[in-house]
Amino acid sequence: MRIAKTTWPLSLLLPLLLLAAPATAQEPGGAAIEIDDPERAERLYRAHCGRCHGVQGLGGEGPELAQLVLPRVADQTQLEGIIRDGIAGTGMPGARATILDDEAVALVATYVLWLGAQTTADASGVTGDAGRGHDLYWAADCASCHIVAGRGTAVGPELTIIGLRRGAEYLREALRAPAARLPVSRTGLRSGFFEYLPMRIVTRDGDIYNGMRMNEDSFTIQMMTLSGAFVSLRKSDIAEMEKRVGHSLMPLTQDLGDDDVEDLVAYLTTLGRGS
Amino acid sequence: MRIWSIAGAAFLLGSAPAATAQVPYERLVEADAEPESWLTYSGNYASHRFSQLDQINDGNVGDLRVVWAYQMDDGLIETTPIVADGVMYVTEPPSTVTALDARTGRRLWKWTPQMGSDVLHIGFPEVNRGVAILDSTLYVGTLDAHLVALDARSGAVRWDVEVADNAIGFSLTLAPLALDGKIIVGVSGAEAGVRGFIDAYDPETGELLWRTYTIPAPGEFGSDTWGGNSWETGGGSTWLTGSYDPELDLLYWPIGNPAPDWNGDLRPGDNLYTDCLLALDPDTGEIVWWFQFTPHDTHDWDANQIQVLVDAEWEGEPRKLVVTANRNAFYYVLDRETGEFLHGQEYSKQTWAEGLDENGRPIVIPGTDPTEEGNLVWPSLQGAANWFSPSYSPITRLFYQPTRIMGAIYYKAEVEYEPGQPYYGGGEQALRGEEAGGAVKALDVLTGELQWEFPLQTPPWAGVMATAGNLVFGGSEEGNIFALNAETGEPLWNFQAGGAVRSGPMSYEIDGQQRIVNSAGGTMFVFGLPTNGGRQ
Repeated sequence: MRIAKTTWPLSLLLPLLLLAAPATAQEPGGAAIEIDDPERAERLYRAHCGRCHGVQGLGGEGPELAQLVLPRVADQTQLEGIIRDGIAGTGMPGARATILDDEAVALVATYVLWLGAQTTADASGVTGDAGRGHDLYWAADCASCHIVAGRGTAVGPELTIIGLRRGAEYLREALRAPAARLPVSRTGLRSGFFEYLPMRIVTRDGDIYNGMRMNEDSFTIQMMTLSGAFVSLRKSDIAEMEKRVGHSLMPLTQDLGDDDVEDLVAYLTTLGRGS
Repeated sequence: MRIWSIAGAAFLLGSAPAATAQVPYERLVEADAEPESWLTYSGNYASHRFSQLDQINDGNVGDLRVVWAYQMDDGLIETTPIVADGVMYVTEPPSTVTALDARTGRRLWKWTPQMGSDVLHIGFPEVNRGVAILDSTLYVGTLDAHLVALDARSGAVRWDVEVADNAIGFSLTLAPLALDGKIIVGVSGAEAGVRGFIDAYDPETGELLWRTYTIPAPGEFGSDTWGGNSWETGGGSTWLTGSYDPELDLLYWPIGNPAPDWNGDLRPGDNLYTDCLLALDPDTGEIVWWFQFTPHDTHDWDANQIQVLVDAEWEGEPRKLVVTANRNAFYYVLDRETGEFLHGQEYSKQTWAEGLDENGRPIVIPGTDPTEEGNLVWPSLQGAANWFSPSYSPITRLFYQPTRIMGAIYYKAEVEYEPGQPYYGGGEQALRGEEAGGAVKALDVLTGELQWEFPLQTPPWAGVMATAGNLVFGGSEEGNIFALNAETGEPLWNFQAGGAVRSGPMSYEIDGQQRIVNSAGGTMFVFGLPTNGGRQ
């Protein structure tokens, strides 16, 4: 059977997995990921990976695994190698033959890819016209803030393969209520940070900056202004700092009709999949 | 001028250097009298992680700069170096010991144990937190659960004993503690369902002097706190360095979580001595008193935090205290002669207990155990505190605690014990986004009341060190190595090191110049004032 794909939280999905044998999901190329023994796979994942990467694969001490593209992983063979050997210089241990044999490593790798595949967009529920959506996207100047296939400006997220990453429901929400779910970084020195967080900063000298946070530590903050300029500020020079959690720099789309939104959704779901 | 290179010493003496003692026990007891050195993991037996050096202070810390750096082998750096007589002894991941010229950072020798490729470390990464020094010998625990004695001049192995069987999950990651005629070590392994213990070894021969199990066997006191045979796989690891009071001659050792971590159904009872502080007779290993912070823990809240010994007036009487900020988000003040609970209170967000009763036992809120569906509780499994060191300043009388402010969804699952396999009984999904954060908190040492806090973007993994220069040094996951005003928390200095800070800062002095040491990413940095910056 095919497991119904869904958006977050994945916790709702995991119990379903236990009932499913075998479980399948869509991988980026469109082929199904099939887990021969999903119950055992989940048990192995939780026992060996979940402590650092989270039971749901959403990250913790280790990075998020429930994502479509894992930075170090081109294919399952490479992922199995990482699980077996670990990653030098990080907290990622090797599983070693004494603790996970090759068959178990392969099963865990499949499960991790399956977790990622769950984030793949569910294109069902698309009712709009992708061709019209394409025209609308480029006419409405979405490219002033988003890059698709190398074209556009990177203020907001790149959308080149958004059709693989996000489903119709999510995209619809992103167009109508873009602040509802800001992505969270799980990488390196800004792990756990909201990405694309709008900010307003007033310096002690009276300069005012409106834009988007790029990074932050306890002493400094880096942001991109609405005009795309990079600004580096020391917190000791800041008089006021407002993190506008619950807001997005996405322009309001109220002037778009429901049909327009559905057409945009239809176009966006083709990105990365081919039309 | 001190000359410590092997060749130099031999030249001066006209023969091989004599095996004279470098750091006898008496120097460890009197460590506070030589602030130019750093002789134990936490700086002194009382585990203050406080430097009496004040050359670097709240007036000039802004001028601090890197004097030298040392790039380590791949892995997470959670070590605190020791400095004695001009030499720095530091561990590198996973269990390597390196001697460096404390003036220049040039390497004198490096020792790496031969370990098989199948070394287990279940529930923790390949780390090592440091060495102990006694006389002319260094002591290091290894990931494959050996204790090794190394000649401090050369790194040559004097002896090597297997503390426990790595194949069933035992490891040593802690810095051993050297006492008078004893080397004390503890073990990791609760996540593999080991039965934990504390060991004492003869420094000369490696002979086991005593072993005290942290989980009582049937018939022993506390065995009725374990249902069925659960004691056999009950965990209670001892993976962080303890403290010692030479006057009372008592050893203080914190004990880790019960196993399996998240499924308490498999081990009904309070599960002594997990999540306890034990006071032991160092000559026999006998348990003199115990105090349990988290009875029947189902959240993996080890008590493996640094136990800080403080002498203070308590209700008008001078009293010997031990204080700790526990992983369960409560701060405790105990009488360290008797183990009597004197005071405790929440110091970080928690949602699992209404408070502590008059004996210090938590009043647990029903429904906060892990469930199959998941149950959101603060703090997360990594706790409000963890192994990273707090600091106590006898000048400000403040207890400085890096604090993790983070919740998690806890899951319970069935699990069967298999030797050498994870024995968790569930899992955790830490909260995403900026609902999680951290702080360096300054607490009144006697009340635990917050005096100030310095916010951190991400829950920290780095220790802190206060100094007589009215400073607190710390680090962040974002790569900041920083100094705060010890009285006010005001940030005074920051160095962006480009990698997460996960170790404990320390300080020493050489050529009359104070040094501050901390590590980030794969590099250890040694800082000093520019008056000596160009001349090492």
